[in-house]
Amino acid sequence: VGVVLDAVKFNHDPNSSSADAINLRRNATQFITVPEWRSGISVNPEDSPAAYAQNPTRGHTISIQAQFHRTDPSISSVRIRTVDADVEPPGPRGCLGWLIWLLLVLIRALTGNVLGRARARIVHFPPGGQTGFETFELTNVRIWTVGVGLHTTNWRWQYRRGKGPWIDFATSSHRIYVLLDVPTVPWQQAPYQLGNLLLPWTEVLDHACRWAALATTPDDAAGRVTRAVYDLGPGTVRYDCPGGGSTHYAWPDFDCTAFLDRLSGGIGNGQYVNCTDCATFVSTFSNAVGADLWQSRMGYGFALNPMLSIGSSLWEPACLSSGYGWTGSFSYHEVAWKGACDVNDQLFDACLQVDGDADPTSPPHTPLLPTNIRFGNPGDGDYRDRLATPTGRATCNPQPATRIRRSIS
Amino acid sequence: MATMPDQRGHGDALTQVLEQRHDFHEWRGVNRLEENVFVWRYFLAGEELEGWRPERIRGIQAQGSPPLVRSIWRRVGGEALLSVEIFECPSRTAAHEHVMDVLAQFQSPDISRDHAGEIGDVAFITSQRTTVLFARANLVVLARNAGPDVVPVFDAAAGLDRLISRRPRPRGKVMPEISSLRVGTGGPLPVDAPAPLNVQATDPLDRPVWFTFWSRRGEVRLQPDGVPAYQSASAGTDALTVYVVNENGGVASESIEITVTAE
Repeated sequence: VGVVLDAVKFNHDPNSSSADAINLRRNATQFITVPEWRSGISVNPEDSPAAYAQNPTRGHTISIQAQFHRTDPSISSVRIRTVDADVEPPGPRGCLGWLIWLLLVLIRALTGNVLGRARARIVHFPPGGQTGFETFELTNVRIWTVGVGLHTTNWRWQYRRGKGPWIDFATSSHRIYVLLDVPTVPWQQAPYQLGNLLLPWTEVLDHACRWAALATTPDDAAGRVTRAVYDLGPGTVRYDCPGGGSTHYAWPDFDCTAFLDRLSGGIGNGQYVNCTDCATFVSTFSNAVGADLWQSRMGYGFALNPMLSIGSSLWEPACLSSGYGWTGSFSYHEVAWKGACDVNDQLFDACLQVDGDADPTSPPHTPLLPTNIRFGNPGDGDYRDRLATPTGRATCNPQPATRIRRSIS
Repeated sequence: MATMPDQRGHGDALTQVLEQRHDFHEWRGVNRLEENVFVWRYFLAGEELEGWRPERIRGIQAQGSPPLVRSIWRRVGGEALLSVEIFECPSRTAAHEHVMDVLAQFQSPDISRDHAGEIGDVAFITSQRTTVLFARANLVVLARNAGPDVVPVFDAAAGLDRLISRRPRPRGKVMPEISSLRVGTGGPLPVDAPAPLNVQATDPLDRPVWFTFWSRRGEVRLQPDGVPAYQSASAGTDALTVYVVNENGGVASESIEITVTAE
């Protein structure tokens, strides 16, 4: 066809996130090399991942870089552009047709192209026939209006000689993650090298962006992630009654590899989790899309109100009727927590639902998943009062000295 | 911007509560064997637990934590899943401190110390024996259920304890070879002074090997530089035996006599 697309870079400046994609890796063992898309190697969208953070890119023009070579020696320069390869669904016909059309439009809005298209520009071919990486500005970018999400961009690459017609010469597919902000600690952007396991993992973003889909604020995203983690019970995880409520995934570090294995149907570290695990899941996955949460404890040694532990449909102080010797109290409890992780700071708890009505100590119970709820003082009617019994509240105190963000392996 | 503080010693206040609750001062440093044992570079080969087959075994090195072997096992002929984690600490005392760190990861206050003395230098067990935490020598072992079919895990944990607390018996056809075993400079050692161990062993098939050191008077501990060292608190003679074990259970051993002087 005269011109061949060789490679595409989305993260073309690893020192900046304001006009291009952020630094990523795939998981604990696999790095994502740039250019993300390579001819003959990248086939499916997930073969070419890129993540964009809304905050630092807002007000900036996003660009990509692409490399080409010519197969027709008579070509010295051409105009090159991309267009969206996904055609608009046809207009509705009849009631069923209208419903299908609406569905297709919704799917396209939720998961379709958010990068718009590459604005046409002239590309000159040097005598050797292969260009360097040429920068293209993107237009019609939608990443600032769609919220957190996971999208597929399919581009048709076209060139044009002089005033001639636009000619398709390549197609490329890309997995595009939209984040609210650059992922926060424990995630890092530097050093950008193979050995840095704390570069954001796309295998984490695959889940985090689905769980937090459409969220437009960090609190909204964290709330959605909290709900999604809680809803993993009882099929994927459940509270560790037989093991004394011990940590299976988040100590000494966050065994994210095992958790991802569990999420994808593998054994992982088994089905049991405790509060430390849930706090770590919520904060690490929320922070991957731009929230800023800690894992922090409260305690020590306090009696519990009836609750719904993750994976359980029975209202009771944790595991009380399980037959494993529980007596209705926690030594400690741990949650994903904002700010200083103290009395006046909000928290997210995916390990349990508390009773959300006026009297959390007795039936009837109104399930309340704690999302962005203040810890509070005894008698305030906040999280502390809902979790601990009236006598237990005095020893259910924030322990901000314990706040951490566990490293990842 | 947020920082990532030291992740160990999580909640000193909780550790103090737990130390009191579990009478830490009573058992800190206790050795229930007649000899001092130190295990180094331990790994699971997959045949350690009778009646269980490994689903996954991984070595994990988390910053600030002792090396950890994390494993999931499936009961032969059943669906029960067993999680076994083995932490290799620098010494027996360090292992006992690490037991407190592990206890600080239990939300339930209802795990209790096992006073029957059936397992480990110290052990903690939940009701129904569905979770067992014990320290033996410098190792800390946590055995728990990982699947929906909940079973007692005590027998599996006790089997592991026997492997640690008995001198290895040779089996398998191919055995490791010990090329060097020396304590310090090879001469008499002063009391209370750690003497680095120079021990070198290889497997003929280049497989990994682990080591276990046995002595009566003195004790082997891992130094901060990662080198094991022998140290004795009293003068006299001692015999140090090292066993080197490969993944097929092939065992080589060698002993040396050590003189410890009061000077």
